[in-house]
Amino acid sequence: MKYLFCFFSLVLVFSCQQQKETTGTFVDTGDIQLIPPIYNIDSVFFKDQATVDFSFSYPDSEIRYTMDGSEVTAASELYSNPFNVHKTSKIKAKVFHKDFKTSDVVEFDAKKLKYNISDAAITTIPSPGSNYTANGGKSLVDAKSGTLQFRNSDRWLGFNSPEVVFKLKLSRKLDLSKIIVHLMTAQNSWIFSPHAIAIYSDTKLIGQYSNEKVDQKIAGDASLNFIEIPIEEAPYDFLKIVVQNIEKIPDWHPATGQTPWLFIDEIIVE
Amino acid sequence: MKRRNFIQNSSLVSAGILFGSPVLNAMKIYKDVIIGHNNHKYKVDLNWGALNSNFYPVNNCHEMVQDSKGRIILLTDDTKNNVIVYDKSGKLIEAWGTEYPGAHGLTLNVENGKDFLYIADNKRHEVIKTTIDGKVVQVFKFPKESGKYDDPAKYIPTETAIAANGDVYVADGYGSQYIMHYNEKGELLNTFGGRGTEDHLFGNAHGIVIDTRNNADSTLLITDRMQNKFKRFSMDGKYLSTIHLPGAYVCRPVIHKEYIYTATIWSGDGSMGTGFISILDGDNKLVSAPGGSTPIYNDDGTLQPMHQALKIFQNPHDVCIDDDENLYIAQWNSGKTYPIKLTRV
Repeated sequence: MKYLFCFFSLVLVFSCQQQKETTGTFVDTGDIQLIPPIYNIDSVFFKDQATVDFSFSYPDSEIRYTMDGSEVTAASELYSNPFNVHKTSKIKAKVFHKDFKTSDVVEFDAKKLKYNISDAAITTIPSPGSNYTANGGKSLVDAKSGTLQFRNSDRWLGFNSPEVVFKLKLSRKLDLSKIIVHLMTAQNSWIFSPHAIAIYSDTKLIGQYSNEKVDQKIAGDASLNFIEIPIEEAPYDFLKIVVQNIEKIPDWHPATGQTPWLFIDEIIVE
Repeated sequence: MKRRNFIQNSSLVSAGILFGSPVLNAMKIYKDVIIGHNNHKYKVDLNWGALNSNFYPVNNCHEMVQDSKGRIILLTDDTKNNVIVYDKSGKLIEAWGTEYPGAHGLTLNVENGKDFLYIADNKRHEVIKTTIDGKVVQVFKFPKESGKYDDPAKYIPTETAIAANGDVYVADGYGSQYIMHYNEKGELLNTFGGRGTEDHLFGNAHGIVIDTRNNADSTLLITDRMQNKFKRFSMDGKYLSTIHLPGAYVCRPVIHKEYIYTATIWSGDGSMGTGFISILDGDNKLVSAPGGSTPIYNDDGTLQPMHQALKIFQNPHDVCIDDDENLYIAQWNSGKTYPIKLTRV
């Protein structure tokens, strides 16, 4: 019995020493997860192609991706250089490393535009705010998306008014069933989502959208979003799009009572 | 996570000794994580300072300092014990403080050989100076005399810095973004800054420190967390220059030897849980980012945007550097966890 006790004491001593040398105090690599790769796409919608690049600066890490919406595995395509996307795609990517847990997935859409309406004539009432005019109304149909860096951008039109009316005169009649507005929300920068959008053909209402929750605080700082508005399916060559801003910045915000901004960089027809 | 591994490992090792070596050989080889870059690399101890939360709870762990006795002092906004004092191994020495519901900024200053603490309380809208054991000696109240405030609620101080001559600077980082400059008696000498995006203004003046690395010419380094910058000001409040830290939502700058240390609470687009630690050298260049991406400077001298690389930190809020060059990381909104220790390798 005595020997057995000594033996177990020895075992205990050894286990404690072992613990100290390996995993006793410090975190193991296998318990730590990588974060997803940083991605950049020159425009999330495009006429011919968009260029995608990934980055992740950590030694010995690998970025792998898919473009057909399938799950990313250790056997997926290894990213090395920026590449072009030619069709509407759901792109997914993860970071792999021999020591660490694989990252969560990052995914985003690249949208090939069905119609090129860059020759449409566009009027906006009122005019955009003086610092956020991009290249005028043409920027709304140039198939180039803005990024979250909205200052000094030639992509974003910013409006500081309760309502904005866009009139689109297309160069020919197109069969349409959907209008898509691409916009930014950045509440810290006073940029809110519209609370309603109505679409008219001449004077007839053909589609509408509303969101009563846009004055609520959104987690995170800023995001880019598509708002899709179904319209009565028909051939159209003229559209009037009325975008309603919330009246005042809500109480929870430091700029409460001020008129918020609307930021729009593209109007897409399908 | 580590405790579980320890238990698994030690039982495997015991079994290995009992039954011969095959089990030992089959044991997975664990590698300690080493984070950081260049000469600033660290192992990670997630369990440092963990206490029984029924007796010594923490809410947000906001800031930490080391006192003249070498003890590590943590400030939390749990009013059961706003201040928790540890030794460097993480053993509890004492806890005190029940009257700091918005305990946020913690600065230690040695005055005539004695340690004093300056607590910026963002719910009380004032700064409280205490002895090292918690006796209140001075209160810097809401600065009505500045003429900048019509309501104490708009003054939400986050940090203090104390100059060699005893002058006290307070950053109103969650309020109206002014910097208050007092003399040691608490008389307001100057007010500068304010909200805005211009060089001399702030989006979130979250931290302030006196940069004494150039002895002849002390300056103020003030955080603009929204703008991912540290801004340098003269001691009388004139804007001088900016250190750009793209992608890094930095908390207060902490000066230790020739380096600036800071907790980057968020990175990238500023979403939650994306933090890491940043270390700048004497030329204010990023030399190490424990938990973050490898620092890369472009040919024109600009820093490529920083991002979190490993999920180790959630929302790190402050860095304390001890006399062994190890780091202690206090975290905001991290599920009431105790600080993390980084041991330099």
